[in-house]
Amino acid sequence: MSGPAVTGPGAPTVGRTGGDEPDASADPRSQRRFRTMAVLLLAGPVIWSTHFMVVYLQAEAVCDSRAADDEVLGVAVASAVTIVATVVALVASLAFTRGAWQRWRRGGGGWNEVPPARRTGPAAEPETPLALVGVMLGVVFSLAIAFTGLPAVVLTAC
Amino acid sequence: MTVLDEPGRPGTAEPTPTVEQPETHAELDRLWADPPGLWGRLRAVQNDAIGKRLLFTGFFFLILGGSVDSVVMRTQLARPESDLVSAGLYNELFTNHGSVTMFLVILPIFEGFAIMLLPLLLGTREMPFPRLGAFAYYTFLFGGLLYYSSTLFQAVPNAGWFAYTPLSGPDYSPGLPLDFWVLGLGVAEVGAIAAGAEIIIGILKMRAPGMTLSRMPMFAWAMLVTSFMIMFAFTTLIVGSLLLELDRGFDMRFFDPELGGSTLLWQHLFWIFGHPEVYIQFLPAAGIVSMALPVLARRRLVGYTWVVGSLVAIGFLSFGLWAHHMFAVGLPPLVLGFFAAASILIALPAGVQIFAWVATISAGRPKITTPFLFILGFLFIFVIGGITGVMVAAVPFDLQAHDSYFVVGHLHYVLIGGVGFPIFAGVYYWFPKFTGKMLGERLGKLNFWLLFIGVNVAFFPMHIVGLMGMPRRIYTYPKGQGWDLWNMISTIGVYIIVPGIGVFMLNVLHSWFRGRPAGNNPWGGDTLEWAVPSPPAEHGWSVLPIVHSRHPLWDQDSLSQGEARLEHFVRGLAGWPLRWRAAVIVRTGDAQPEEVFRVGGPSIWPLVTAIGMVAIFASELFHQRWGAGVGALVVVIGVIGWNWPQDAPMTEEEELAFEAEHGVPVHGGGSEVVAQWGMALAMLFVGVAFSAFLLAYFYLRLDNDAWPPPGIPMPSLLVPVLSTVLVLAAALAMHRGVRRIRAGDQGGLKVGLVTTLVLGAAAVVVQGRQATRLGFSVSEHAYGSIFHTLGAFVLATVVAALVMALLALFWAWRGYYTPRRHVTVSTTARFWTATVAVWVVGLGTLHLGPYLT
Repeated sequence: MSGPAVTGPGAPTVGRTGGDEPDASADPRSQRRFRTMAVLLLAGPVIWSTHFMVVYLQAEAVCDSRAADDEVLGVAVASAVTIVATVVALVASLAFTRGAWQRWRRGGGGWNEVPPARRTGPAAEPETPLALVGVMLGVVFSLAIAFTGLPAVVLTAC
Repeated sequence: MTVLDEPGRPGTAEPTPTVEQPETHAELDRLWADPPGLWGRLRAVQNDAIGKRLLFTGFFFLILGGSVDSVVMRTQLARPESDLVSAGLYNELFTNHGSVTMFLVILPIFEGFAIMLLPLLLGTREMPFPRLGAFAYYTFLFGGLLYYSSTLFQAVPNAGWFAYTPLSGPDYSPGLPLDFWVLGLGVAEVGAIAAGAEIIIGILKMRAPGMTLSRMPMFAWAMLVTSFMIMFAFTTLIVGSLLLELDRGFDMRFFDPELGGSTLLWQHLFWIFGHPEVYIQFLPAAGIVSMALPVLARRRLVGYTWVVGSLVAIGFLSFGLWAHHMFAVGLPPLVLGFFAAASILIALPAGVQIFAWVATISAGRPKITTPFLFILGFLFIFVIGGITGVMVAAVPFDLQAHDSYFVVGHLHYVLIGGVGFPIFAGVYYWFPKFTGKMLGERLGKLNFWLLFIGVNVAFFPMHIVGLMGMPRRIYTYPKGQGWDLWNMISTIGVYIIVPGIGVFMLNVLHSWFRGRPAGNNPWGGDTLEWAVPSPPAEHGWSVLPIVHSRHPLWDQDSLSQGEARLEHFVRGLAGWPLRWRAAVIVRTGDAQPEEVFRVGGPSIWPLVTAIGMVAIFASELFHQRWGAGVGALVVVIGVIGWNWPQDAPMTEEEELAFEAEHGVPVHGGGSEVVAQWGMALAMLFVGVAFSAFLLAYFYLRLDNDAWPPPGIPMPSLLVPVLSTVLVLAAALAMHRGVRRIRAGDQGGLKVGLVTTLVLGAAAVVVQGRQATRLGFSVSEHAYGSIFHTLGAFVLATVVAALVMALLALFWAWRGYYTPRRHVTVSTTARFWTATVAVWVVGLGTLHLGPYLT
């Protein structure tokens, strides 16, 4: 992980600031930017949750119905629906992850908040670290979507 | 010299920003204090008081249900074929032990931590709804006492802490015991949700200027995620408990397989709550560790963003695990696969957190103090509990270990290691802040070692004896199974834990009165709470801090310097207004001041409302159903008194003058922003409850071949269409009323409200009348049970919206509303929008469902 060396309370600090930094957050557009950020942050988890409930509920419904033993193109109905839902969710999740990635790169791409003492130049967009969280969540939940859908490829459906 | 050798050493930033005149500080302190005397204490709402009460009451229940029960149970199991307690008493003991620790101990302790700490951590003066906090405490206390009063009636619940049907149903558990379980804990669950709503809004909207989300202390992140989880999980449990009580007390058939019900429906509803509950307990603990560990290791937390991501990821993933408690009930293989996948996946974010903490320790310069020891103990024990968790996430292994002592060992490693140890770390870490005294180190270390050794000795052998085949929840066992030695060792472990808790209590008492003075910042902490005196003033902050960093006390020379307009604002607010309790709302994203509003003061109404609430539940318990009506009336009166509009403490001109000078609007009469958020969370609560009812409807539908069952006609469509038109028109009239008052037309508002009331009431009458003429009852089949219950929920939502509109009309008649002050009208209109959605989807499901499925 890159980033500045950190300091503890006992360590010497260099030119700490009292807060005379330019305040990027006073930007009137920041509310709108924040809403976009919130969407990018939570898109992965929300898509996974939706995907999970869809594949679970349809599996319960199909396995409880007369279609339990039916097949589509040689694949059990419950498994086929799961595979399709998984592909759709995966594409959506990766698209949002890419959006979060671009947002993070635009914000400077740092891994850590730069302490005031070490900031040079104008302060970065204050919510850039949230974009990074959005990338991480996007990756984890894309993996989660794939992993949740995987049983449809290897297990008997009902 | 290390920081820890210097108790009382201030942080690197200057201590509490102070106002120029000391008398202003004293005036603020007086203004925010609770009134004295017994009457004053009953009306107390101040966050310190409520937080401490929650903590102490949680610990009280821990001693009662966590310790006493476990000592008796382990003594019984120390030897084979022991007859110390009977099978019946043993059932009561393990039910009580699980129920109390899961419902009445850990959550109140963490909500207590949050309500006490957050205003200081976040740099604000109070929580957004102090009266809701008081209400949450009283409901939790009364719920706990109602539950425990079962012992007075010799009717102690005995069906286990997850009360599986049909064992917990009317046939196998007749009488009071299970009613005490459902209803007593139900009251406490209401309190958990109330406190959760307060915490969410407090974290998102009440922070120091400049404290953006990505600068928030980790405990705030953890409590934010946790509180959202509480809203989803506890609401589902309340619906599940309601259905169980309807089966038990009203002869309904939700869980009766012979008449269309499903016993598995209870398991689903319970575990949709029950598994997230484990993480609801773990995440605050992770937050405490993420706060204390970096300070004690004197190193910024490694991977702040990674840990934030992990908290959010766990929050979501934990809702996809519930059926891993049901692997043995016969779910389709594909479904087993889904839940196993999610259960294994959650190890990923949990592992990220562990690595972040270990990396912080290895990169830091820790000194081995008691809270640090508890964190090390947490890491050691929780990792073992986590790994055994991944083992039981694998279906084939789970089928072997299911309902064995292996699971008991696993869950105690997770809950004691992952939750108990961080609680102790948190108490040792923050005790100085709230008492001004350090907890003793020598007793602290003894406390730690007794608990650490005791926990491992008690619970590790349970894994072994579980794998050897010993089932959980048996009151005794025969000789010669090879279990004797391991059980004896486990019992010895519990005997080591008990004095460990005793040493902790002794340490707290001794240190409270005779502990070393702590000073503002004994640990050299980085977060805002360490800038204020120990113990803090009632209002916490005279001058609100301005934040530029995640570690303000390590990175900032001053907490009162920043952008000129912010400095001017916080200085302005320090000396003004001194006759009402002003707090600041910030924008969620960038933490810029958005509004100044008046926080609710001391009031008896939260207590009255809680008494009404408990009366509703108790009346069902004792089958005096008229009492529910009285209780509901008390609740309505309590809520009206609670929200009775006070005269605005200043004129609109004075508010506008402050806004003109500081650029931040003032709403002394009531916050627009907080009201909007409060209403949004109320709608979330209604939405989650509604979803749980829908889940129950469709689950029962899947479980029945014929829907409706033979002999019950298909539902009609004409009446629901008519009533839907009426509700839609009522909501439109409500919104029109809001538009009229915004334009200054008070008469238009009144017309809108009256129209809403007439049309809404007509819809309720039309739909209610139809419900009485359906020709089938709640008792003949699960179809009737869910049809009437879901229908009643939809009607109740509209009735609640009508009560709100009626109150708004009352105040409109008294000329209370102006174009600037009409917050209750706009929130009522929002609730009507949600009501329309519930009405359309609810009635659509009931009346179209049988045709479409």
